[in-house]
Amino acid sequence: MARKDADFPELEPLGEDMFLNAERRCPVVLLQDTSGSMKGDIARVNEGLRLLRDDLMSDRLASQRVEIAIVSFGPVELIQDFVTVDRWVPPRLGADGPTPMGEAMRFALQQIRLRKRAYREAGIPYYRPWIWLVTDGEPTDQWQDARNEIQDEVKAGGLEMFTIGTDSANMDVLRAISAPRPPVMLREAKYREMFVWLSQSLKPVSKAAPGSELKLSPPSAWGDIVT
Amino acid sequence: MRANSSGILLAGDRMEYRLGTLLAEGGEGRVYRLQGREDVLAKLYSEPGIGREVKLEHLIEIGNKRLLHVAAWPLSRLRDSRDETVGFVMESLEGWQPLHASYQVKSRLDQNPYRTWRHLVRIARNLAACVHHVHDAGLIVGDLNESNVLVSHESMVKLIDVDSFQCETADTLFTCHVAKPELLAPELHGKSLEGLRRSESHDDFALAVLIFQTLMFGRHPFAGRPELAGDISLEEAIQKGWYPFTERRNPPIAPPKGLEIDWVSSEIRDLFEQAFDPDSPDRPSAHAWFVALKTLEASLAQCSENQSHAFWHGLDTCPWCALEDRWNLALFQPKFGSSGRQSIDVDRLWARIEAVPEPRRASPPRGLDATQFHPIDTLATRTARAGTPWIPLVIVGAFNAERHPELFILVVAMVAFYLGCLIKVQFQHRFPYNRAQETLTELAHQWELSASAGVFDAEKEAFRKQCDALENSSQRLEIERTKRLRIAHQRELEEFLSRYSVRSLAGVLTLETTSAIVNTLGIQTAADIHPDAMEIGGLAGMEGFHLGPELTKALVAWRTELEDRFWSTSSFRLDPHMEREAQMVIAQENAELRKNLERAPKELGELAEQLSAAQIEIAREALAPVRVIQKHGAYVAALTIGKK
Repeated sequence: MARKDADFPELEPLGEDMFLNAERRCPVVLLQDTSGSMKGDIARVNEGLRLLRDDLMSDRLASQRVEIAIVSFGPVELIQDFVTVDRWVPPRLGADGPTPMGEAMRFALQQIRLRKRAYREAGIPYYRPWIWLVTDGEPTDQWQDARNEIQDEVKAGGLEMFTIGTDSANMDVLRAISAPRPPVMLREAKYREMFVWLSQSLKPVSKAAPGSELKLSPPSAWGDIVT
Repeated sequence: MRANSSGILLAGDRMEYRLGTLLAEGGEGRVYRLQGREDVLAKLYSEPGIGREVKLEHLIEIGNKRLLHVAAWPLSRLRDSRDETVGFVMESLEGWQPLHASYQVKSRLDQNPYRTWRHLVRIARNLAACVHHVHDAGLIVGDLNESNVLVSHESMVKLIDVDSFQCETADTLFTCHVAKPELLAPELHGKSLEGLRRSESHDDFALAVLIFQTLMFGRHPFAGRPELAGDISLEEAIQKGWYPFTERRNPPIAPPKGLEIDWVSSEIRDLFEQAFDPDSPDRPSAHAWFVALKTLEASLAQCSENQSHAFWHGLDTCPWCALEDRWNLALFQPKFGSSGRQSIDVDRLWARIEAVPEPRRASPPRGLDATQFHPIDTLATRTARAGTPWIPLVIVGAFNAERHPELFILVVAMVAFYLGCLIKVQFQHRFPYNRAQETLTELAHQWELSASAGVFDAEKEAFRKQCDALENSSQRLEIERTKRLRIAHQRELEEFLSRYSVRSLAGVLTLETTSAIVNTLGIQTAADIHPDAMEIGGLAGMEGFHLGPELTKALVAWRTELEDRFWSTSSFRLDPHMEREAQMVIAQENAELRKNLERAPKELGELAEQLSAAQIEIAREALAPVRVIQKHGAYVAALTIGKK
């Protein structure tokens, strides 16, 4: 998929989806580590994505408000651009390559900027975007700049940043990225449970009080908060 | 409360209720069906609240006919075995839809495709009436939002979540401490709602927002295109009074493209101005909205082009036609003639066809088998039959001709006799017999083509299929529509497909393969997969990469899956022009079919007569050859004696 630059004055059609569905959107970027070390778990991730879709579909308002984009890293690819859940066909990811987390984060931010521009263009209101980063390793590229960019967005109230690591992930890096929200350590590859939790957390968000503190239930079914 | 309380017995004020299945779950509680009751439901609190019982009792007490008419009013408390109030009984509104399903174009077209703008005005008006009656009873809704306003198929409106209304007894004020920020009056933003006394004016703000959304295709009045860098949230716009359509101020937000406030009457426009002006002390009351919307409803014009377009008559031209043209979609679905009359018509046509008298069903002429004749064995047939054993004798005779000329002459004589017999039998019996058989075969063939009742049956079957086609004209119309729809919205489909990178198949095709597909075949997204152009044998790319038939199939299947997802979640409707075109095609086909079917009885009747006549004629023609066969059959049969 061609890389798009948020600032490049490209002509973009105003999607019919924005007119037929004027619901306030909640954009979510799933930033999924697909480096070689994920090979053993990638099938579980794929299954989890399907569960995420099915669970969100059970809530009609959420299925028209939550928009999912998927960015994989190792290498950084826009696997799938933002689509509302009711139109989402979850991908079947493969795993191979390094862990360019820094590039991936910058790329995800850019996708969000682009999407926000599309919302603004169409006059569609939106909730604070989410980035949901899942990794089992540590960055193989320069990541500090991207971390700063993310942190700036978070501090300005323009982003909800979540980081989830397996036991082999570098939790210090994740803590630095998602501060002040602590990273979550994924237990025993419980990707299914993790995505169900994501869905359950998105449903109320897609309906209520933007700007207010997120009230999330503890992720006890699938992970431990790393403090 | 337990996780699921289905089946437990609870005491109401006058009778007991047994909980049925769980219907819905929200932050405040759960809604259950009641066993044996269709008309009422139970709402159970998630956690007991202090003072809740008193509030509930008060609400039940003040409930009157009017309030019951505008809201799912609490009818009776529900107490558990410890006599604690755990919830209440209320009217069941199953089948009613939340307001957002009415004002979002997509859901409206899915669920109530024939709702026009007139219905939307009526829904807004009914909502205003509901809020008015609540206010009139001294209550405040508080958390008025798009999910707790329900709409019936007949555009009736009712409020739910009555237990969260603000109400007051002689000594206690029960406040409503929840709200959605998108619907919260600007003066309440940033304030704690806990214990806060809310006013009718606060409800009136939410009401104005919901009316705007209902009339303006789901758009929030404060959503627009920001003209400042940086995000402007809905909440900020509300707080600052940045209503994009205002003529009083100059907000840094422009109206969304294609949305015109002029669609509504100037009276309604003024009410919006007033409701969304942060400096205006008086928001229009629910009653004022009711009156204005009633007036608007009475001043709607009917579009001459499209009968599903109702619009405010102050406009010169139909705004919906222009909007539909602009977006290449249909906002309202026109109603088309029902097929009910058609099927009666088809039944009549078919009955007339059924009544046509059938042709004769005689057996076709058939060749006769020689073996069925009793052979008449004559000297000639016997001699002719015995042909081959003579040959050695002739050879012997020929070789010994010099030594025994008399023997040779005998042999010659015998050969001559044999040949004589053979020729006699052939000319006298075999040839006429064969010719007659051929004639019969030819007549049988002719029978099949132009005399058999089967010709009639086939023709009748063809008419039956035409009857079916006429009866299923609505399905045929749907196919025509789909065909046009898919052509008209190809661009949107491509845009959707281009959102999916081929790499999302890496888990199935392996990363190497997906990379090769991208790099050597130039297929980057699902939009680049062209099923028609894909060769069965696979695709050859550069650098010797070859995509085998299996992978090609997988790619095509993936695109198909995405396409199906797209069409099944799209609410495209044909524009009136294309709709007319599709209907014209079907109408022409139907006219043709009807003409054929009207003519069918006459045609079939004539055919039956022709066939019957032809059967008689052919049977008559068959008589002569049959006689020939019968005459010679016995001799021909004699030729085959012992040859079986």
